[in-house]
Amino acid sequence: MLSKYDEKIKSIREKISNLLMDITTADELSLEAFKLSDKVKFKEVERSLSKIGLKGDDIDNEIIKTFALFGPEAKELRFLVAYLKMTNEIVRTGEGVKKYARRMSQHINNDFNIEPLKPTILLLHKSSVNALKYILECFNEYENCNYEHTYTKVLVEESMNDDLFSVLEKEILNKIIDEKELSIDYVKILGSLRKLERSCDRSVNIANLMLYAEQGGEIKLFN
Amino acid sequence: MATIVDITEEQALKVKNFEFTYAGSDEPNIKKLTMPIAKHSITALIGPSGCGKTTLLRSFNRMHDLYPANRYSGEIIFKDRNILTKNEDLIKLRTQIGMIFQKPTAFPMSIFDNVAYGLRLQGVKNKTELQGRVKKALQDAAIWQEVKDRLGHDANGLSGGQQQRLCIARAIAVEPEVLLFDEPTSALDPISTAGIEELIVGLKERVSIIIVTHNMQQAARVSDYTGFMYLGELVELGPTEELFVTPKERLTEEYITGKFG
Amino acid sequence: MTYTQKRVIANSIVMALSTLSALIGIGFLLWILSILIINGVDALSMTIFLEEGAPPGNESGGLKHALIGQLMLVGYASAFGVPLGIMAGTYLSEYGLKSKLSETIRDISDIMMSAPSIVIGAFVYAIVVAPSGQFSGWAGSIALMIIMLPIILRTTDDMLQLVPSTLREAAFALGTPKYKVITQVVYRGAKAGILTGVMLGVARVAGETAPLLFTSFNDNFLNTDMSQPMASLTVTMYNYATSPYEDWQKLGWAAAFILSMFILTLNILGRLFLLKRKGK
Repeated sequence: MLSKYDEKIKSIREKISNLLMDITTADELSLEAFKLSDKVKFKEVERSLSKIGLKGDDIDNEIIKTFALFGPEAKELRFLVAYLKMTNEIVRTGEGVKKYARRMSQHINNDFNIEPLKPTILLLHKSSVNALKYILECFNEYENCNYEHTYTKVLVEESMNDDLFSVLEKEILNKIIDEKELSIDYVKILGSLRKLERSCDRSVNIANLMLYAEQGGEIKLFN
Repeated sequence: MATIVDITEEQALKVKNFEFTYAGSDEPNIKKLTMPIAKHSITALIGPSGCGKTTLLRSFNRMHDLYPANRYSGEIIFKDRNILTKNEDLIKLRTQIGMIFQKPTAFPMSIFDNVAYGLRLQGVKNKTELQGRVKKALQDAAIWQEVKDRLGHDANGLSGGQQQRLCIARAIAVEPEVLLFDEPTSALDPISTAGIEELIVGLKERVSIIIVTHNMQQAARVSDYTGFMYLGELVELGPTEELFVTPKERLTEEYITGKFG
Repeated sequence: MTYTQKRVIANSIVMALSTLSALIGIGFLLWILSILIINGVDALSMTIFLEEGAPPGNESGGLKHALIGQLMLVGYASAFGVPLGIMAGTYLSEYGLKSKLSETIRDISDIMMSAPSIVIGAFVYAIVVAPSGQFSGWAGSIALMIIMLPIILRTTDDMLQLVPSTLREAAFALGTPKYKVITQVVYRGAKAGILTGVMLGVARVAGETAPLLFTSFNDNFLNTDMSQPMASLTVTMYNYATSPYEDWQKLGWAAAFILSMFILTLNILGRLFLLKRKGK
């Protein structure tokens, strides 16, 4: 197609890539922050993700303009639709990372003994970060990425993530039974950790959408 | 009633209350139209047949003067003067505002002579200068590689798409400020069309471009501003990105979504 | 018999009839040509081109005077008629367009084309020969020119109109003044067609006899003075062929042959040019 179109697509991809990068970096920082119980780092995570909603809107508007002006078909159409839906998932993941950072920061305040749970939480967090990293890597490779492979990797990561979360759920429920007076705090922590689990689910959706864009057929996000 | 965006950047042309009636007709074809044209941009004119877009385009370089008894009033301001006055130097005007037609119109002479035609008209005689400027024009029209070894051949041996590029080279050789395109790709195949569109987009650095097209998608792909005309009036003029996503006039919306036209 | 069968038979009958008619027409043409060739070639010799006319019975009689005379008459007629015709055709096509005056000129031109050439000869007699008191080559050329004019005018007009108006517009759009649009672009585009018109016009007048009868009259000897009566191939042929002398009759055949070949060639070339032009 026209080079004007190519420029538009390039610009959209760059924006999505940057957004993904920002969120992945923030998530890694969040992991570090949790490891070191560093509130400053958590603050930095929140700050770096302060504008992701606006960025998401911007990407969406650019995609809408591209549809209106260039009327793409086939692969181009699928990729644009995939990007449109991906942006949603990416922004929500980012919001999740932001909220997680805010809430975990509060938990540190409550000199609350989270040490016994820490190793599992770190594993859970690492798994979410990995899923994001696979997505980012694949996205940046564009044509050269093996989408099937990436999808499988992310699925595997998600499965592991689910297992880790189930373990944490059990551990926390046990803790609640033992330390009833801290039940509210434990429930809050579980809520925060759920964000990590959701993030991994969203990564699966993103990988699924990329696979759809590549292979075609019909969108099967909810099969 | 019409929604016309304010062009804050520099304007190449400004139409003011322009009215045009064809010879032998009582009804004006264009009714009191006012419209700015931005500089170094591509403005597309779209609308159903008979809406007056081609009539308007051909008024910019006073093409209608070739045929007797057409009547018009109003102003078209170009370089701080009204070009519709009787004492406007039409020959000079047409070297500043060039036109490319729907059917490729290569002159019956060699490729070189075609491109050099406008230059020779202006009195350029020096062989080296001619060769240099012809080469540059053919390069800018992205056809140099294809014809550099047969500049002396008759231009009618070229394909439709090539001839249209030749016409573009011929027009830009005289370095006009505005280029008018009258449905430049409607007689061409899709591949040539894509090439010409790309060429037009590349030209806007140096010329302000107005393109009339009945192909909405082409207008959407190529232009920076789009003007929608209907029954001789300008219904809406706005940035293409906005007009095709959220047209402000109901009529524009109906046309774009294919309800008529 | 079914409808289809009837149709097929009717088709075949008409096909057969039209083919037959065509063959008859062509047959006559071939017959004429063959008689011409048989008698003409027989009479050809170098003397024809080298010797002037001689009294009958003289072996050294030739057609040099008639050939040169014909060339001069047609030549001068063309020298004035061709540019005049082209310019008039150009006016009609480029300036007059479809105005009342132009349409009238076109109609008059068409009428003139079908005017009997002898009438034109009589007209020129009245305005040139009678006042000047003598037959002359000029009168002959003027008559031929008047016959030639409408043909060239019409062909030029038609051929120029065939040039698409967008081509003119493209030239104007570059800032070309009108006269240059016509000479540099339109003429070039109609070149072949105009040339054809010229060739056909010349071919037409080259074979005229009647108008020359009362304008250039004739001369049995070589004369290059246009203000005097002049020999022409056509009138000479008329005279020789209707004479009772055998050698003169033979010369008549030779003249007929040379004239026919000349006109045939011009016509064929003219039509080939036209085909090439239309084929583009």
